Amino acid sequence: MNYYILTFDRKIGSSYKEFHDDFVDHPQFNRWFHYIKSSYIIGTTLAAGEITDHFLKVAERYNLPKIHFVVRVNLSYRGGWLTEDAWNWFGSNSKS
Amino acid sequence: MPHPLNPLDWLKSAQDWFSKTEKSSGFRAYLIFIILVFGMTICLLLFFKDIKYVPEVGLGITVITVLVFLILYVIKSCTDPDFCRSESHIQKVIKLELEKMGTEEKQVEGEVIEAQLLRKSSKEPRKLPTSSTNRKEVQK
Repeated sequence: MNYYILTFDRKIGSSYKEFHDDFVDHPQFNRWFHYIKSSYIIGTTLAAGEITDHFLKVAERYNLPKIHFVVRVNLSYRGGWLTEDAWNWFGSNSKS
Repeated sequence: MPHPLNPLDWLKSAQDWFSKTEKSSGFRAYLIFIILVFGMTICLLLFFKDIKYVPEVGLGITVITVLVFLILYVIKSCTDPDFCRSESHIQKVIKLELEKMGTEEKQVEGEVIEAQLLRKSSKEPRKLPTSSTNRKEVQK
């Protein structure tokens, strides 16, 4: 399983509640992390292009902007400011 | 700098104003148009009612405008229900509709995460392993 970070532009004034529920509902998203509003980390066996296809499909369904990128990441190389729960997720999903 | 005698500059100023005001004011342009039509009809009926067909034309324009306004209002209500609500109300509703955040194991309300204390990563970022190419560059 690989981890990818997906970053996207939000449409100001739009609700992303249903988008979020649909997006993370993909059967092949084994792990996901959404502690920052405009980004997801996804643990999956899918390729980056397949994540993009899924994002586009869900964004289209809710008439939301499609601009985004997906890139594979190594969770061991990390830093930042997040809530404790978020750091715990990194701890349990990276080798060290 | 807009020129006061250039009608295109006036139009652009009006468009800029409408684009920067609240979403609820997006329909004000139609309301202003209706008020202008009413004003014109009143003037026609008061000052030019003796001229042939003027009362019919005035009333016809008003009736058509009101009918078009009602049709547009119904269409807008169906396609964009927020169009006549105030921006602060829309923002409040969106705040309530904030998606749940977190992970697949534990989802919490977005507002709860925003209110939580942030912590710096307890782990220093690792240094990337130096490749042989990089070493050569360093030696040079």
